[in-house]
Amino acid sequence: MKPLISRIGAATLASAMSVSLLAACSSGDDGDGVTLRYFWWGSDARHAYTQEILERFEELHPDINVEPEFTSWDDYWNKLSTSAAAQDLPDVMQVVDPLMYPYIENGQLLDLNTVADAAHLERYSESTLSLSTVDDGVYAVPGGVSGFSVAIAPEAFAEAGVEIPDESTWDWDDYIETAAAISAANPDMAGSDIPMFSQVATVWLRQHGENWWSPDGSDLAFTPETLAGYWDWVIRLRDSGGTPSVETMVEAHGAGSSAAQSLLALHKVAMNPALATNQLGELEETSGGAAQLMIYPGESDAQVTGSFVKPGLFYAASAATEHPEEAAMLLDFLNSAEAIELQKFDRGVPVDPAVVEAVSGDLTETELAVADYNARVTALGPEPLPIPNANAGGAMDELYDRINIDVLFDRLTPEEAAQQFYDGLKAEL
Amino acid sequence: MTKTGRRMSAAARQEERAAWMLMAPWFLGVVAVTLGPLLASLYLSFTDYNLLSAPEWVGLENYAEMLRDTRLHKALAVTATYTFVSVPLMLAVALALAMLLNRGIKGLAFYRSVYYLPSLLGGSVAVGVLWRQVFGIEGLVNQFLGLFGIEGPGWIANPDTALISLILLHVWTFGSSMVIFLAGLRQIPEHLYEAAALDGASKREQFRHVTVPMLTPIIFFNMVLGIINSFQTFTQAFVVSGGTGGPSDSTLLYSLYLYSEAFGRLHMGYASAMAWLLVVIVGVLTAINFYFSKRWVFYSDGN
Repeated sequence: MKPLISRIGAATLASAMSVSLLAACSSGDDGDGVTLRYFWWGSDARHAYTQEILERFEELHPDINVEPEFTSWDDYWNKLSTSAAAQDLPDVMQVVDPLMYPYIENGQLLDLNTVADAAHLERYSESTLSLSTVDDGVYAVPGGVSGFSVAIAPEAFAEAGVEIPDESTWDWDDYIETAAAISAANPDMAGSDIPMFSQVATVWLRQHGENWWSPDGSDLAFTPETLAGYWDWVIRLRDSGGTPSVETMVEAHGAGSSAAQSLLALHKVAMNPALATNQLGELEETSGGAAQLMIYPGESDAQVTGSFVKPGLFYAASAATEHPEEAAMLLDFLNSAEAIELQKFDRGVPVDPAVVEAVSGDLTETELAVADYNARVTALGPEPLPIPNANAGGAMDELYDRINIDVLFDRLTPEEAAQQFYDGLKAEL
Repeated sequence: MTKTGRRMSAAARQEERAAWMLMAPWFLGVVAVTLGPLLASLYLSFTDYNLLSAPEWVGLENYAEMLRDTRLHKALAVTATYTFVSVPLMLAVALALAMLLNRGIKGLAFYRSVYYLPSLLGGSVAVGVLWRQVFGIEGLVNQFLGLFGIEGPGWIANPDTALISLILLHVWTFGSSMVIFLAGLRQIPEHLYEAAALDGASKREQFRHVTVPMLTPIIFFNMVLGIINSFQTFTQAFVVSGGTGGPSDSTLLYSLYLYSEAFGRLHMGYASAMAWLLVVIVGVLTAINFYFSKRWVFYSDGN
């Protein structure tokens, strides 16, 4: 319960706001106000500050009541799909590619063009909306720009007496050599994780001028040969002695994908080739030491930039919401300076430069490092990521996971694996 | 069984009424809770349904798709291996312990409860998490092997050994079969053993020629239940593999694949068809079991 004083204060504040806004709030309602349900996934820290954000929103809009619903990533999509089946989607929800596309394709999400004013769509550049724009409809707004990077522990490099490579010149062989040198110098630590997810392969394909998907997501846009080249590199990394054993990697991989559980956080490796940059804070908190974000190797030799930044998550509204205007207002508020003050960069770097500017005064070094990494990647001029195929996009992670492990255990050669992956994904289109 | 129908005595009629009354809660439950979803899933199995839009009738397409789905075939192979290895092992362990406990040791009730405990816990998430630790690279199993200088694999991380840890988890839940065996052993009349002993039968011969034949109905019952249960195993594989059936599909039990198709890929129509295939498989296996039971199951009441 909010104290009475703040309710009165909020009410005064609200009445000072634009009349049209208030009229919108109460449209079609019996005067008791509007109740919105907002559903998100995340860590406990995110659950806590998001509820504070919602309280601020309610203070600004006393006639809107927001019911928080939250869970872990693992449970989120099951709950969302079953509530969609029961025609009981929350009014506002957190979504992400590629899992959001079936929802868009099946008309479950509101086209935000219909509430463009309340959602303040003009705040978002075309490029930040590209992944959530389908057939001219805008179905979600980005919650923050994130991406993946090579995260390293400078302390571990110093301990091993290995120089940190120059990110503007290093190539994929340098990566292997660096990893092997650290393993050789420090018996208690391996140089690098073996990449278990597809992000590093994404960078590799892009550096070769390819992508998983064609620009509109209707077809595949990579060749098995290029992918086989990537898995070949993975095998060379594995055999260099610069990584933990394959079994250690699979075990860690099965335990969860959060930064806090990563081998880098546990001081077992010095380099993590696929850290989600918005998890840098969590990583540093768990490991108790600073980490540094590096651009992927090979960029200086590549004709096309492989590294990328992209929205790490989006906010969407249900097509069936009874209160589209209010839902849009909440979407807008989640990306406001008032919200980001509490949230910082936990959902990525805010897409609105004015908001970043507004909170720049109290950013930590970690947050500045993330923003700086994004700026360095953007300076390389990466092409935007294509939209994943609505059907096959959801199959990719599971297929990649399985075939990647077959490669690591020598059950498939890189060539066989690449062909199987290509055929498997093609069959899902 | 009474076959005389109408000519029941008043007492028998009263007994029948009582039977219906006692079964009523179960029937109510079936009709109110189970029947609806059951029929719905049968309907959905003939549709293309992704939870996000209305189901579309596709006839037998989902069933035809099963013939082509190599991952489904993999899941069937994994589940069959899991079942046909773990069920006999579990029955053997359960019978051995039941025989041991039946020797009239002190504190039987205590031991019975202790050995029954894993049956209650084995399907829980907590035990699945524990199993991950126990069979981890630095887990208890490998620490134990280390005492003998053996370096064990990452049991759960290696596709060649991951299913073994799941099978052991299943065998560990032998308790309920054991309790039923124990009850069965108690039912064997002592005079049979006495007669056998008089004829000069050794303990081993007594086991072969008295205990096993007299227990066959119980073995049969435990086996049928064991096969049905193990085809439906879900939680253990879900928790131990982190929900993926991995590494590399080595622990992809049938129900785990069904779940991931339904809620991961939103192929609810296909998953419904898979559920009905499971019904058919379990039904056929049970029918086969009953057919062959005539040859080896011995009922001492002469039926």
